[in-house]
Amino acid sequence: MSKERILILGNGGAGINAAIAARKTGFKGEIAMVSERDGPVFNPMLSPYYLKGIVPWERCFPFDYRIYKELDIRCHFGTPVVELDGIGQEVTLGDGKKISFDRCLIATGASPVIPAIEGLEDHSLYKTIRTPASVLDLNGAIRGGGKAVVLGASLVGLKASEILKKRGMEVILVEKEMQVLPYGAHPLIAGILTSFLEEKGIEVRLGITLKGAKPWKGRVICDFGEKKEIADILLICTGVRANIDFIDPRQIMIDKGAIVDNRMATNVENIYAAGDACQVMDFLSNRHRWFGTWGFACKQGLVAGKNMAGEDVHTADFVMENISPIFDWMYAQVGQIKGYRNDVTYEYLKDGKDGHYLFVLHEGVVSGANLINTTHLAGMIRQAIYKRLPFSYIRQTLLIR
Amino acid sequence: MMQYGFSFDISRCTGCMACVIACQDQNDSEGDNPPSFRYVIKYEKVQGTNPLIYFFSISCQHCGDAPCIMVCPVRAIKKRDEDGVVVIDRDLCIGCHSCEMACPFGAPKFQGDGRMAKCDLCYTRIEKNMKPACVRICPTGALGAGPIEELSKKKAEKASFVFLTSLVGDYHR
Amino acid sequence: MSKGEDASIRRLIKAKIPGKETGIEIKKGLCSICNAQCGIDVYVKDGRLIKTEGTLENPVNKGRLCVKGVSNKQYVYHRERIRSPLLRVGEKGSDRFVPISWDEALDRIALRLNEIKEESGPESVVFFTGFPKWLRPFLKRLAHNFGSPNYMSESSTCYLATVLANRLTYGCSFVPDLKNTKCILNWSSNPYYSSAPQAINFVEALERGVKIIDVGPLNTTLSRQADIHLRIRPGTSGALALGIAHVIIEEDLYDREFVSNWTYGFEEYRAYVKEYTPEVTAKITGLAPQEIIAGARLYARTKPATIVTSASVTVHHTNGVQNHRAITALIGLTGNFDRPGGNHVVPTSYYHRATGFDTREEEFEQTKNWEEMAKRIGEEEYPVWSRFIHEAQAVSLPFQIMSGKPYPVRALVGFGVNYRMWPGSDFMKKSLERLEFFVDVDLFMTDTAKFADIVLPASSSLERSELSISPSRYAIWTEPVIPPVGDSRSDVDIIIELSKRLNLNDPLLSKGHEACLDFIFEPSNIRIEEIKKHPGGLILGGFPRTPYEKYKKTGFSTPTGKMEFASVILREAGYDPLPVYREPKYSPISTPHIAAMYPLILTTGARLPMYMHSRMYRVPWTRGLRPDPMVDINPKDGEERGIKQNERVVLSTPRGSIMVKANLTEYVPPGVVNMYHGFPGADVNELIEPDYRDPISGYPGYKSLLCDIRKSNGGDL
Ligand SMILES: Cc1cc2nc3c(=O)[nH]c(=O)nc-3n(C[C@H](O)[C@H](O)[C@H](O)COP(=O)(O)OP(=O)(O)OC[C@H]3O[C@@H](n4cnc5c(N)ncnc54)[C@H](O)[C@@H]3O)c2cc1C
Ligand code: SF4
Repeated sequence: MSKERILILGNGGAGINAAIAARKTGFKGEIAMVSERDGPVFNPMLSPYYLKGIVPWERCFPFDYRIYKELDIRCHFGTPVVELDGIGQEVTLGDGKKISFDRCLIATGASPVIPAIEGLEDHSLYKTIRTPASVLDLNGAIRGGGKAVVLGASLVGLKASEILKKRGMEVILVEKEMQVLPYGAHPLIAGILTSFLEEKGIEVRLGITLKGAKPWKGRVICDFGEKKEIADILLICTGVRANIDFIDPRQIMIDKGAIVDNRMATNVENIYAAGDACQVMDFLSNRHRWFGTWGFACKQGLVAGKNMAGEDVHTADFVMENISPIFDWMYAQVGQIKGYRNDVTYEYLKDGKDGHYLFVLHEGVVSGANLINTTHLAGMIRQAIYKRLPFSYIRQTLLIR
Repeated sequence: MMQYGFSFDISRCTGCMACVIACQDQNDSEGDNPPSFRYVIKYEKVQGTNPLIYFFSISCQHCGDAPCIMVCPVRAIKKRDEDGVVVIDRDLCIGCHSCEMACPFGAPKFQGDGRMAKCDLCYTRIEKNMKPACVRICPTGALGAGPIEELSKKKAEKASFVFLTSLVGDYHR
Repeated sequence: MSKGEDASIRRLIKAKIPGKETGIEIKKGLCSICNAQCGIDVYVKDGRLIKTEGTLENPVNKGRLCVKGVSNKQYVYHRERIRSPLLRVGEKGSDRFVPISWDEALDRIALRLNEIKEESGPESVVFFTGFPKWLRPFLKRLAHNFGSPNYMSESSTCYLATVLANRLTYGCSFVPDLKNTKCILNWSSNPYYSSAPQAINFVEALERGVKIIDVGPLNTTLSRQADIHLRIRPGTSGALALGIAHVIIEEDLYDREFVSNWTYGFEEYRAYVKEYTPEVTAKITGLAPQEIIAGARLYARTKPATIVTSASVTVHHTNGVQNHRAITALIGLTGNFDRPGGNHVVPTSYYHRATGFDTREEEFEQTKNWEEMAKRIGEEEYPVWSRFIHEAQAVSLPFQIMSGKPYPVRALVGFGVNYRMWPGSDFMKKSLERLEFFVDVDLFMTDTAKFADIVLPASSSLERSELSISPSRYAIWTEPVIPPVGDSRSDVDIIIELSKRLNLNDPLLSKGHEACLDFIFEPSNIRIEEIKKHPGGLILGGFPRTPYEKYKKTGFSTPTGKMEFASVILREAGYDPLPVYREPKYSPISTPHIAAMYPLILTTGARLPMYMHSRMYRVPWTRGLRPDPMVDINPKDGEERGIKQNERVVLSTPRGSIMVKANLTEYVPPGVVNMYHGFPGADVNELIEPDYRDPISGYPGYKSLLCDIRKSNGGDL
């Protein structure tokens, strides 16, 4: 019999950590990796730091090329997976090549969603931030001055606004909901952030949708109905979608990503998924959810790698976490702020001039928190959510000096 | 691989905070709002009619399976082979605070330069047969440090001995 | 040097590893932030202090240090250190000073003081020292040489009243024999916060299985560790002690032999404590009768047992001296006096250290008899204090400055004066404005120093030499470990120089610090020269241990020669001879009409670990641990008033109010609030009347009065 083969689809944080873990576990068989893009692992979360000039381009690739050799990975880079036959244990690549496997990991990540708006069929009209090419493209488009419209006040949208502002552009941040961070922040916290962004010179327009976009002398006319803006850059930050078009949903259960258990296994034997391509169990709602963070992707990749190599390890359920600098502030979301359940109460506390806490409580137990400049407690609050500790615990222990 | 760590005897901790400042003194944490790699939290509970006040002295636990290492997008955090101490290469840090979110103990601290710094178990002192600054000062001997196996032996001797790893939750004396 | 070597040395320097290659040296110093005098290993590089650590071989702290001691780097190098003598040019309190030379400063001071002496007598100049202890014998000598009886100190509000109380009952002081005891009755001391490096004694006692009874309203770590915690209402210590005595006598648990042979006034006492049944005592103290009985039995039945009191908690009441006497009477009652494991009588030397050494400290300090000088401040009001305590009563100072009676007070030479020490601190502040001439010696430009005409910069303990002799007879003479900050000088050198300029003609003082110490320790043949030979200190050998039961040979130094349950001296002075219990001047029982509006009991000044009176407020490290003035209030009381953690509240008494943050905590029982003293901007002593005092010692009743707390506007965290 030939060597056992683990096939990893996707060369991101999830994929590479799966390979590392499989080898660490002692897997002696073949590891093959398929990636649409050629080149070492790119960490999309570093792109804002690159665009702000904090990290040089080379360092957006945290694992260098040698790792494939060290881990003895067979790379099939530069062509996408177009079909996965989970039962037949075989994938088809874009160039028609077929690769069979014993175990396969879906770690193809996610891509920005482009809303169905008239004019956006023309890819040259807008920018995104995700892949190396998209980041370099955006970087090239930013020149001192000019106007930028950022569509979507997601966390990426906020970060992008900061970058464009810092790089000398006039920035209009447009969000169709009535607040920034519509899915992650309590309206009160969102309001504080909005004022802060405005203070920093960003124009925030809420409750507004883009109706259409048209090219005009190398620029874009953005049509908001009553108002039009002529932008030098239109940046789309309205969210991402898992790259799972190659999955046959009759085989593998999918929702917004491939659904996996705490071993990162899908419903089909020998098929695993990790990172932005999958949905895992949410600790709070007991439902599968899409999380989409670098840390989770790596962790999930690691667990998947170990299991594919023959170990039997489980992750804990996941609690939503997001943390990021926005200008000179630190913002974080821990757990669920919105849509967890209806019978929650909120506890808002201020800490000094710019410090804010907003806790979401269910029967006195913490289920979520928004933090502004108080993120030193982020990890401990997440731990408190896991341990289902009452808010009084946090009040008594963490908030007291 | 050798694994060094801290031990902590909650029955002896008085919340005197000497460890906090000893750490700042050792690590020259100065400035207006200087971070300390060690801090003390208070936990009050009423047992029957008896109110009990406990203190926990907390810093980096140099976890065997350190969650911060995995989340760091630039791989600036590493575990030393010699002693299992989790260390950060500050030159690489970009200040994203991912580790702050990952760490259940609130160990990563952010300095004026926006980069992370944390407890390094005073490993250079340990190499020179000196105790970590916080352990050395502890007036009641609540804090200890050493190879984990030795610490767990002591644990068997004394019921009130806890590893900090199991601490953020409830503790009954 | 190769690159790798370079990096490795940089790593060693960063970790502050002492050695040749790093150029880091360890020098021996003493901490003088509190009174314990812990030994510090000072890490010095290029003449700068870079780190402090406890000295392992110093038995005072055995390598440990507290949060304050380890802050020495920031304390010593604080940017607010005064760097040269300063002359005030703006209004009093204005903080407008100009630097002048030492010569000019000292000459101006000498000239002015001698003028005032000429005009209105030496007694119109007061010599005061705040918390600093080491300079005291020198300052008192200076005062007396000058002719002023008015040497006074911070000890007019701290510690000495316990000495007074113990002298009244036993004719001497004593220390707990912790090493040999089987039971500790800890009366409102929090060793873990007041002297953390020494508190290991309690940890070790616990480990040995020593029984611990903790008395006091606050819920300290020792309360948690104790077998019994008697959580009394503040101010009712005396009643509890009498209640315990009641149980001990009723249940025949007292030491009949000791009581009948060595005590005076027992029948009177017995008759008095009869009233204090567990039920009556329970009512007063807020305890349950069974708790009192259990505590009394445990203390009386466990032999030997010792009583630990704090420096001042028991005497900071309007019935302070008698409360303290009631507590310590239990020692004799149970036969634990001067017995192993009980309370041991060890003669003190050199500012109250129980070393057992013979010294000429008194002779050194007191160069004139009292009769040769005017009456001391406070002497008429507090005759018993003045009889036992060889200082003036500082709490009376502002009254005399303001009234000019019985004679005017015109000038003050102070070392580390802090007007916030006084009850009704604003009153003391006002009296400072009234002074004609005020010299303050300090490390920092304090709010008090701003009222001085001339401010002199003192150096810290690490910039000067100092002698420490500990009860374990370890002696160390330190050399300066770093150069003086700015133009600062040691307090003792300042005193010696002042003595010269005042033309006081004191040859001994003129010979300098060491010569004076040699004089003081001459009876025990201890010489600084010898101690100096041991830079790391040495144990002074060849001295016999202080024996036990010395009274069997010598009797007691009381009028009756016995332990006095009923004090002859108090009787003669017109006070109650027995350790009677009186309610605090303001309490729910004594003043129900006030309690109706101020229903909470205010107790102040209990130690926080990071602060030492006002000393550590300005140090960023310690301040960072508790940046805001906070009042401790029980969650129940907070809830009743709709007050949340960290919310701004108004703390008020009939005398005034301050704004502070609320700290909801079980540290205090329901009905009691606790506030640390001297916070700039939120000084709780302003809320206490200047004459809220104990009638025997003149001590302020800091630890029990009435107050209320209400929510203020604004809900900042
Ligand atoms: C601007 C921005 C900021 C972010 N900031 C943060 C942050 O602050 N913190 C945080 O935790 N996370 C952040 N993230 C999210 C984080 O980067 C992702 O969650 C993480 O990178 C997901 O890793 P992954 O391995 O699952 O997917 P990816 O990194 O997307 O990797 C997927 C890989 O699969 C390949 N691939 C895709 N489709 C196919 C296919 N069909 N066939 C073969 N190969 C394919 C891709 O080329 C890629 O190599 C940010 C993301 C962005 C875009
Ligand atoms: S803050 Fe620095 S050390 Fe922490 S995860 Fe981010 S880059 Fe890594």
